Amino acid sequence: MLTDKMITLENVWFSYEDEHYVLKNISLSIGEGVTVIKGPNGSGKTTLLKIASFLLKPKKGHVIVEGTSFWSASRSVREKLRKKVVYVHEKPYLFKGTVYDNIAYPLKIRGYDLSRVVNVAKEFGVGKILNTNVNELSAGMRQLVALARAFVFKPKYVFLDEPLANLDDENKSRIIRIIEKYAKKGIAIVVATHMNINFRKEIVSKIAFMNNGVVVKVSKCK
Amino acid sequence: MEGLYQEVLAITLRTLWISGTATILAISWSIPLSLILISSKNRISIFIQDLFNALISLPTVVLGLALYLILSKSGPLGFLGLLYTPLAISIGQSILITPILVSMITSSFQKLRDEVWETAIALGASEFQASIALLREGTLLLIRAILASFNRAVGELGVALIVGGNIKGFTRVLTTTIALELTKGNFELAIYLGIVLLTLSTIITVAIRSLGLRGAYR
Repeated sequence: MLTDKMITLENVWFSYEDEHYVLKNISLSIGEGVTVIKGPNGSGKTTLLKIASFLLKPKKGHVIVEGTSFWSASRSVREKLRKKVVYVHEKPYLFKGTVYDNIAYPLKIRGYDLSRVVNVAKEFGVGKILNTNVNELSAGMRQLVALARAFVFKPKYVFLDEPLANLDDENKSRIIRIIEKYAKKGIAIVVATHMNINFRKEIVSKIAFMNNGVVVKVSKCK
Repeated sequence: MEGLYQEVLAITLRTLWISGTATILAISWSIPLSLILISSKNRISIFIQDLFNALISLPTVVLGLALYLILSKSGPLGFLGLLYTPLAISIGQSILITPILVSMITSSFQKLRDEVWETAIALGASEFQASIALLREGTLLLIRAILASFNRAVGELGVALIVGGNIKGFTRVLTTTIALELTKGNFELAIYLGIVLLTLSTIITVAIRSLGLRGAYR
């Protein structure tokens, strides 16, 4: 069952330094399936993702999550809503320790059982390096660990900033397949990219094109 | 000679005890305060950070004088009877090193904050859980700040002299003894104590430096 508008940005404006707006009057709804945000570097994709994943507070406008205005909600409600969402940075930070420690982190902070860690690690191609210290990983492997960490707790909304950066062709295909698989399960996945990513057409719900802080065009695919 | 060694040892242990207590006291409020300042990037937190940066150079005698006026019998906290006690020195030193702790923690954690805090929150951590992650990731930086503050407490003179009173066997610490013995012309003990103070300071500085290098190459 598709329920559109699970997270909605309403007339969102954002600036980092009170000077010029890097997002201008953005209105966008994010539902199940894959939403692709396309645009050149500096067009505001990352900022948009951070606003939609509640990491940044808009200067003007609202972020509505399942009917609740996030920034008007109480602290406890906000923390509950945050637990449903994950954002993966283009250059993800991995915590000190092993690959296992990192993938287990979202489960630990939610008090969940850690038994999923091994299977998810295998799915993302990092099953054999679970005990490796993250300092020894290449940029591509770090990206895979960060993606495994993002999906391990079965989030409802996943925001991926350039998820295929640093990956070779084999791992790019692997991640595209995994994104498609989770999207089919009903997770809302938002992918910001400047590249052309060949998702299966039935998986992509919409493509939003950004330029200079504005959503210039939205193509609905479903 | 044996009596001299015993006296040096007693004074050294007392110094470590008093300054250690001061450091623990300062840690108890400086770490939570620093985390609040790091987590809130607004003008007030920046102002408070600037204030603490300025207070790093607070003259110890000025702080000692202020504390003396507060803790003396006619002062607002005179009823506590803290003046000329080891605890008074610890409190004074803890106030003295608070700006150092807060400034070092906030400045060194700033880059970590951007990465660790955002990652933890992005993964669904509460602000408390994100703070724990930040402290865990910055353990070496934290230890560096604590050692630097302890070093400052051990080496200060003004507070220990003014609110401690340099009472033999009770509030006499390394710095106050060196000052006293110099005025008495007893250079032998003053030099011994100077060497002890310098050794302590060097060990701590080397520890800070090696922790810094480990942090840098992490």
